[in-house]
Amino acid sequence: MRSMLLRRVLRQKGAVIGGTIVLSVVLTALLAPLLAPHPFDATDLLNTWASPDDVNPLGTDQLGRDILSRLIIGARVSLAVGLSVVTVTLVVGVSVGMVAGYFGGRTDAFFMRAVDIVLAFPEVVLAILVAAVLGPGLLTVIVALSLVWWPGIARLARSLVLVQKQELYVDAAIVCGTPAVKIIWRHILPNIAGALLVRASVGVGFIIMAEATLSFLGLGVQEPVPSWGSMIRDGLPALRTDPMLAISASLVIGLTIIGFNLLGDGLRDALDPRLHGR
Amino acid sequence: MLEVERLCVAFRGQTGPREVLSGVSLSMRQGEILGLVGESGSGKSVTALAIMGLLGEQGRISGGRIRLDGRELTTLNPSDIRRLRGSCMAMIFQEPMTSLNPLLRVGLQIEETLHAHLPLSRAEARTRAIQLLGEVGIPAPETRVDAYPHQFSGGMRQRVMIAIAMACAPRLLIADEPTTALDVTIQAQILALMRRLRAERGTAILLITHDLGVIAQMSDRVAVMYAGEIVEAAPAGELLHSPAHPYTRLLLASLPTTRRRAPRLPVIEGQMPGPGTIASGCRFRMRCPMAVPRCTDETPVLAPFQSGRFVRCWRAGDIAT
Amino acid sequence: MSAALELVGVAHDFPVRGRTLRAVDGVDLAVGAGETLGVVGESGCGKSTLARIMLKLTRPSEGRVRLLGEDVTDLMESAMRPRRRHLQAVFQDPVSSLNPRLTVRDIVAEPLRPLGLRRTAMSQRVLSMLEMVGLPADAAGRYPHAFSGGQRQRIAIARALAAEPRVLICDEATSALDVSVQAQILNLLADLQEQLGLAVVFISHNLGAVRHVSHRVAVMYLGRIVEQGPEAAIFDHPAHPYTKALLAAVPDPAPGAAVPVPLPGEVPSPLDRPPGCHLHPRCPRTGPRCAAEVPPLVEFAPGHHVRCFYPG
Repeated sequence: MRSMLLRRVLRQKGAVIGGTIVLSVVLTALLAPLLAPHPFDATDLLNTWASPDDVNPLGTDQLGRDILSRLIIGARVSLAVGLSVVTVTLVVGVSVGMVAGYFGGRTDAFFMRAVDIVLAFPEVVLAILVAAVLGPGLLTVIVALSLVWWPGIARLARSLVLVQKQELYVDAAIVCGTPAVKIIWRHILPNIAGALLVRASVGVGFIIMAEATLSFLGLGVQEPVPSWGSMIRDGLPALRTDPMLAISASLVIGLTIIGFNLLGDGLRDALDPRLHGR
Repeated sequence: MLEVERLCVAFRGQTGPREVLSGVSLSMRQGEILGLVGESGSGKSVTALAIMGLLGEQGRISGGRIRLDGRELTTLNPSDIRRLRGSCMAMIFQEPMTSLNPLLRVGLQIEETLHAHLPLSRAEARTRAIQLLGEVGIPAPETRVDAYPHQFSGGMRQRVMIAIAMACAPRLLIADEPTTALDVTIQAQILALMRRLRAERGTAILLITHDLGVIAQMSDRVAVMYAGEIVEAAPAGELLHSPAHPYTRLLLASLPTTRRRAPRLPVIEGQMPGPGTIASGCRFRMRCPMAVPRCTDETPVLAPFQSGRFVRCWRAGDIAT
Repeated sequence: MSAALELVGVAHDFPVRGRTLRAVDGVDLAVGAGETLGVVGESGCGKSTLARIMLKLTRPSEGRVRLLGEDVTDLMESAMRPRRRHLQAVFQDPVSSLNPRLTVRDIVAEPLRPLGLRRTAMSQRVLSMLEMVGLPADAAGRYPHAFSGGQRQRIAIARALAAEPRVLICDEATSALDVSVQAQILNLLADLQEQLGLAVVFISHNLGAVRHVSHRVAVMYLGRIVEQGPEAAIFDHPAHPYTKALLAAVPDPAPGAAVPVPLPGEVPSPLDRPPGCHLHPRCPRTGPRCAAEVPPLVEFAPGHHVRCFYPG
């Protein structure tokens, strides 16, 4: 089954392109220290806002630091946030959603109220609140974004479970005497994993965007650690004269998001209609 | 009136085209009910769709002819076929809920067909729609004409489908499993309605079903399909009384009946072969208790058998009683 | 003979848009070991709800359910679980009743898990079940989508019988199958019942299939049992007008059989059941009492009960 899935995914042009982009970003993040030509915090106040040349392929920023190296190291931050938030939200959101959806009744009502309450907060406000408590930094961003994103996953998981509950194999499992937790884990989860995976891969893109926003606002990783968002912030004042910083950081974010979206779409297409078209 | 000659239909598959119908021939006279019986995968629905020109993107007619009142259908362009649909030939399906538009009142759906083929004013069309609903046995048609499909029961919806199909008095009505989704008592009503329409209007009906009981009650003649071919064709009474093809015989024998309790039902082992899997020889030979080497070496043809009957089997004469 | 499965005074209501839909009304049923009870009826008769009540998937609004002599009506799911090994089912749709992501081995072994068997014992049992239903041993490692409808139903039967249940509920088990496959499955069920001494409830709208497998038959209409008795009595000498109409409406492939006589009108919605005897608006034999009182189930002939004021 899994090799067939892989083959189907590879047949989707979008997924291949997206997958390549994502893979590049991941590899860049993993190998960052090896790839970056200069240390990310090496300032050179005599060489600020340099144009691209042989030494600095993308030029330098307001403190003379090499933009390319900072972009490469910035990938680590973005990816770290993206992947940790996705992991946390999947674990929490799927658990809550599945329990609420399967058991229904008061359990469902309780959890969905919690979901509604959290969803009422705009993510930026929440992040600011968390930053006020924890102080700005990587952990703050991860915590804040996890808090904001898990309800959406929970809602999705819940509706997927509700659909699966109608299927006869769930009744059959109950008749077999299988306990509820096992039914959720062995029966329902594998059948909804595909849809959740699609949502997760598209979500990573959005999370990276959100991290950039938070860093732009100064709530994320602090100097001198580079984040694509803070680099945009740094680059905005000089946009007219030395646009390279802001533009390159924006492009990199945009490309990464597109990559994750394409991958997610490709996964969805590979999973959904073909399965039903059997 | 309807003549189908060696019709072949191929579907586009992942590994190339697959032949779903291999040389299907049948003919119908005006006012006749022909029962087309077969199990899933036999090609009976595809035959109906091919006649109506509804094969869609995946399928195409790869050979043969279809003549309706002398007019050749396989060479017509889509707009010409559309003009024929509804006026000369109509089709009803198994699931009326999916064939009717849930957002339109049923009266409008009938009027839509009327306007497409007849020059009627709005008022005339509405009157005719009410009349049609009455003819198919819907009580209080003047009020029901403005109801939505979901406000009808399954049997009533099927009656609405029949009203739409019969609106322009087509010469041929194709019914694809029209009563399979209905309760037995409602089925009896719908079949009685179809018999009445045939008697009153002389419409020919191509009745497609897997239910041999329905075939027995309704058809003048029967054609049995297996793996994309017609394996037997005969007047209904003769086919049911003394089936000549081993498949027909086994099929009839394996039906549990309400008349008596059989100690053990005879079964047909195995499964119907998929399209394109058997290149030559009889397609039923792997499951046939009467197969002989000739069945593998020579492909049987649909040959005349007694008078008015056709069978595709080398051993047809051996088992007919 | 004590009943393996017994329903006493079972009724069930569904709240629908502020009103109450009584899907099952005052049903008394019993099935013993080695016996098949057929339950027939058309849409709205309540047989699907009845199946769920029998399987303890739905708790009845009224009445008691007894499994192997024990009243299990009020048991919580956790208490019911150990008893479930004796109450198994084969469902209508062979596609959705088997989890597409599990192997056949996992599917068939599922009822064995609560029993705490060792891995080897479970595998052995799975293989012997596959053999019993006529599937090859290599089927165990494959997935349901690799099999045809008839084969999938065999897998479902193997699963149902794996833990050696005493009661088997077949809910439209052959309705989604092709005609030629249906015969195979009916034969299989009859053989297995004889071999294993099962108590079987066979729910179906296909009267021919019911006749073939059942020893006794119950006919349902709008939530009530209207006639109940031995198979020969019900099919050859039906006493209730509805049963007669039902049998008369079945198209018979035998040559020269009578043309079906339709019962007029439609089955009323279960939300609007006619008062008194539910059939009276459509009944050819309706009389003055029929709209006013609900006829009780009376013994018409030995073992043959009818709910009608003018039976026979």
